[in-house]
Amino acid sequence: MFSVASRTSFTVAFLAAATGFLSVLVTHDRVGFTALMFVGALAAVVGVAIFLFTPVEPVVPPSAEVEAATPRTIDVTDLPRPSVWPAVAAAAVALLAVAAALGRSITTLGLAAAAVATFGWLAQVWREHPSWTPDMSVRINDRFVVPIALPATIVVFAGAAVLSMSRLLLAVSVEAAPIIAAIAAFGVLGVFTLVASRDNVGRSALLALVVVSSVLVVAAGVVGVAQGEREFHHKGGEAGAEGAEHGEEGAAAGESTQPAAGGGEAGTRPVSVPGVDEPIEVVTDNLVFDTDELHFPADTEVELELDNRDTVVHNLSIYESKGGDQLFKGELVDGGDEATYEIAALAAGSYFFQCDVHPATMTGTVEVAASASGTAES
Amino acid sequence: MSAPTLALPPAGGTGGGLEARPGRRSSTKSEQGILPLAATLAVAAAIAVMGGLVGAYLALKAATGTWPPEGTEFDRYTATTLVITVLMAMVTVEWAAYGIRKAFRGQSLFGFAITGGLGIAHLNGLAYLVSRFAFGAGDSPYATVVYALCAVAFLVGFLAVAAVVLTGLRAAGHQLGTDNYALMRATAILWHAAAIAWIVAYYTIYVTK
Amino acid sequence: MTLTDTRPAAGAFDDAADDARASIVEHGLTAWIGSGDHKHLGLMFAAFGLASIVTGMVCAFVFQLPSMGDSPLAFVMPGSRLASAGTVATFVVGIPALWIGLATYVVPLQVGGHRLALPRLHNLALWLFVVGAGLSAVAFVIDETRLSSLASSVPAAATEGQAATDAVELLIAGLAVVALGTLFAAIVLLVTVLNRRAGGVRLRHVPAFTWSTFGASLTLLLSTPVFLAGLVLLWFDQHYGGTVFASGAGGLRIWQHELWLLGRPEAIVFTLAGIGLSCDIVATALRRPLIGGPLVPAICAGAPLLALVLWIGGTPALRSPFAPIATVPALVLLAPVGLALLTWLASVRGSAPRAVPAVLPFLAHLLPLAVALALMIAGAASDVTGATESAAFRNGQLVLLCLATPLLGLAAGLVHWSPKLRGRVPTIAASGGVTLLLLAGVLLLGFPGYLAGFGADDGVATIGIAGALVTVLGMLALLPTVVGPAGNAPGDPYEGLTLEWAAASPPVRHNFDEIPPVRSPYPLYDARAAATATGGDAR
Repeated sequence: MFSVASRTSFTVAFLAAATGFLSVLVTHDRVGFTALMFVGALAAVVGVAIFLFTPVEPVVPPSAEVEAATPRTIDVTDLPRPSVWPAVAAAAVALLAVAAALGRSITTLGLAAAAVATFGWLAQVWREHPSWTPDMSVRINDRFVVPIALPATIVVFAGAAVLSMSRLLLAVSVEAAPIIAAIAAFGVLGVFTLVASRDNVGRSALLALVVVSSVLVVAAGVVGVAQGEREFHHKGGEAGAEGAEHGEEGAAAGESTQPAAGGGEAGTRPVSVPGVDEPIEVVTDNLVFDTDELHFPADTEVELELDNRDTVVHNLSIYESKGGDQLFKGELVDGGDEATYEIAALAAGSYFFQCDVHPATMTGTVEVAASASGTAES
Repeated sequence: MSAPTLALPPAGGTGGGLEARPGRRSSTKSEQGILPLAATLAVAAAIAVMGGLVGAYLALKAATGTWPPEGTEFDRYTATTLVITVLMAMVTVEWAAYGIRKAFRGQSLFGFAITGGLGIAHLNGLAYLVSRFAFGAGDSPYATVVYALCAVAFLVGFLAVAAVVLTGLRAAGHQLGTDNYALMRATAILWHAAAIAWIVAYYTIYVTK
Repeated sequence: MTLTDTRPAAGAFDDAADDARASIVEHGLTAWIGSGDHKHLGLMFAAFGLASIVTGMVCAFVFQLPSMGDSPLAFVMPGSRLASAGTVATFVVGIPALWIGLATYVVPLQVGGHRLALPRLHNLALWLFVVGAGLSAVAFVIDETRLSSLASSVPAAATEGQAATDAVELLIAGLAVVALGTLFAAIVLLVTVLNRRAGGVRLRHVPAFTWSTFGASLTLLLSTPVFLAGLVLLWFDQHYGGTVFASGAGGLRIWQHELWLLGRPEAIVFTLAGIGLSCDIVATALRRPLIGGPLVPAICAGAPLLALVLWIGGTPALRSPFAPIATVPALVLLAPVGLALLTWLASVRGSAPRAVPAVLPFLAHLLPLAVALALMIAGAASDVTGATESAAFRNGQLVLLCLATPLLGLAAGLVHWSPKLRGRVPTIAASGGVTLLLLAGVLLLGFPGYLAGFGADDGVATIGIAGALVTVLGMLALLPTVVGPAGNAPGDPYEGLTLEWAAASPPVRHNFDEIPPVRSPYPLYDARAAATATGGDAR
């Protein structure tokens, strides 16, 4: 109804608009003008909303009689019940705010918390609806939770197991991997045979078995991740590099693949030249390159692979110097994509590279040396 | 002190697909207006955020010589497609509201599904549009305020899509009817806010420039 | 007329009602955390607001210690950050939370309702305040925030054009969360006033404090989103190393309108909203309705909305509305204050005033306003060049107009409604003690700014230390109004005029069993007058 509140809002709208016009005429201040014009428009919207959604107030003539107090009918079901979901939602908002400030890894946690809060709140509101009955809980369980939650849980468990085992097998040596895989496979077979052969296996025993095996598998995966993958080497190459997989674990395994400084020794086994025999890899993530120094061999065409793990587009271009002439312009690479650049030969010297989209934070130098080595150093 | 009287909600409904189950007694118009009014006020707040950013855009434009910076390219095709998408979704959400109001459950669920789909398509398209910007957020004041406008439009759109999905779930669960239509009206208002937010951003970035 | 002026004895209800109530009775910490009862929410908001203001005062106290290296908190936070932390804790978190708490508790009672419109949204708003304040506090502790104080009109740190530290982004995120909570609370209060009045309570018949809550909530609804927009822009600028606020006049203007504390309406909205609160106290003290008819709600609702004029202004001059020059914004802000004063004075005639406890803090809260005005004029007339444009002078104005006035006004409200809040009727002596502490504290806190602006040396900062300490004592003295075990005061200890005095002290879960007929903002006064006229007893 056209109440006092709606009239107040429309008055505010008029005054805000008038003040905005006066303000911009006098002070030429666009921010204030825009803010006041928006306020005027919004106050008008609020006035319309109040007009549409507030009740009509009947006009009651004053009475000379002493009127009795009006007994109120109280619908106690209308009183709000306690709910923890607003507090959980606030915690989720806090996590998302921290994620915005600190990093992407917390974003997942924040989104998960927000989803929990949202569906928990929805579930409570659902149960409070007068049409809710305990039978409905069973029906929803049968039609929604079990058909979706059960397969989802299985997928999660299977995925975790596969991921963990894969990390473990990639971390150990090439001889040990099949042995470990065989032990795991025969172990699973043996345990299930044992369980199937017994008439009665207690629920708690099964639960303990599931928990212990899950913990073992996940722990193995964590150890594998911490250890890191073993070195893999491609076969072939100009210098006749071995290319065979090494049996050693750890950083020491990488040494023999590095070309000797100075371009190789006469009479020694041939070494591969990164950039020439295999692309130099540069990774972009979080608006930075993973290196601020590239090394190219002089007077040699170089292959460079840009792996964009970020969510926005990047490229890599090379210049004579910062602000100088452009020598090479890499094509734009979308977030999540890779591209291989073929960079023309450069003379020995020092150059400048940057991402043309983010020149403020993504820069570095290219050292082109007369030696045959070409690497990316962080 | 006399004991208070107690009014319990009557059992039974008025028949029809969405009202076959016992529901709460019809609430007063005042109570029915709570959710739509709150949604409208929230919409006003969201548009005020856009207004603040548009004000910033205009202030920076007035103070900067070349606006937008030279070489700025505009993907009008994708942006205009997003405008058409949100306009279509404004129609389909009202279709869903119509279905609830008239107790046409199938139509309302169909409307919810299409609106949800269009909303997700809008969010996906907006994310793609931003990822294709040939400038970073910190490259220039123009870039910063454009990213901010798109981010707020995305956030409002995300909240509106979530509201549509959740309300659709309740409608599917027979919890929306002609006697508690307010939730549907509030959801529709929130979706309209998301559409207006993107239209304001589109007009500022691609039309006025 | 039977009113719910005494708490019902145990077992006074029939079994059906008892069973129904048992399902929604709230016990324990979990019930408080998730409470939807406006009384619980109001007390939690108010207690959190008091705690935030105390924190802000402690920061101000430590900041002004002469040798920062010796301060006990120096290992936590160096002095330069304490000023910013204190500003945020007091102006952005504390005062809004305290106001929202009082409004949450009292407004549903004044409109005859039994609940808020959207209680769970209000609960969410409360916890957003808490987590937002926590994030901001962590930001100030973990690292040096290059983001300069929100009270500064020039974004010195933000002009560096470098990527932000984690602390800066955390502070921006914390402020945004608090702003979101403020917005939700404003929406709930607005909808409660508009749609949750008891049947028969017309909007034009709600009391002055409800009208000022309406005006303040509408102002917050219209202005807080602009602050949020500024924070979004600031986050993008800081996170990606942008140069928005280094881009000259455009960036500076954005900062001043959207982020600068004195450039945003939130700085003085609660100062102006205190007019409505004061109107209710004056009417109760005078034991008669205020003269002015529709002018009173117009002043109460319109005054907070006038805070929006803070968006008018230009750069590069720092056109604070508190500058001594008679700017249009400054004059406009004084108009409702002047009108209210005239209304109060005119209502004294024909009244039978009595000394209610809230009169002392009410009178005290007018004093900082008068002092600020007088010093403003003195500054303009003074021959000390640039005195009133100095940062110190502006800080003094900030303290008196944006801290002292609303703080004392809110203290008056807490004292006035103390019977409803915790069932205790304060004595005049206790009220006087609290008033004296708060008034002395805020005046001592604000004066160093003025003295420094007029050319005094830095030694005057020690006066501010004493001021902060005394203010903390005053705030602590107010705590019993919102925390502690509830008493059992009479429902209407002051022969109140407005509807909230028809409830028990403190009210029962559903607030009212019966509501008197409401034909004006003063239904209890009308009922007594009608009963006196017909020779009957109203009760």
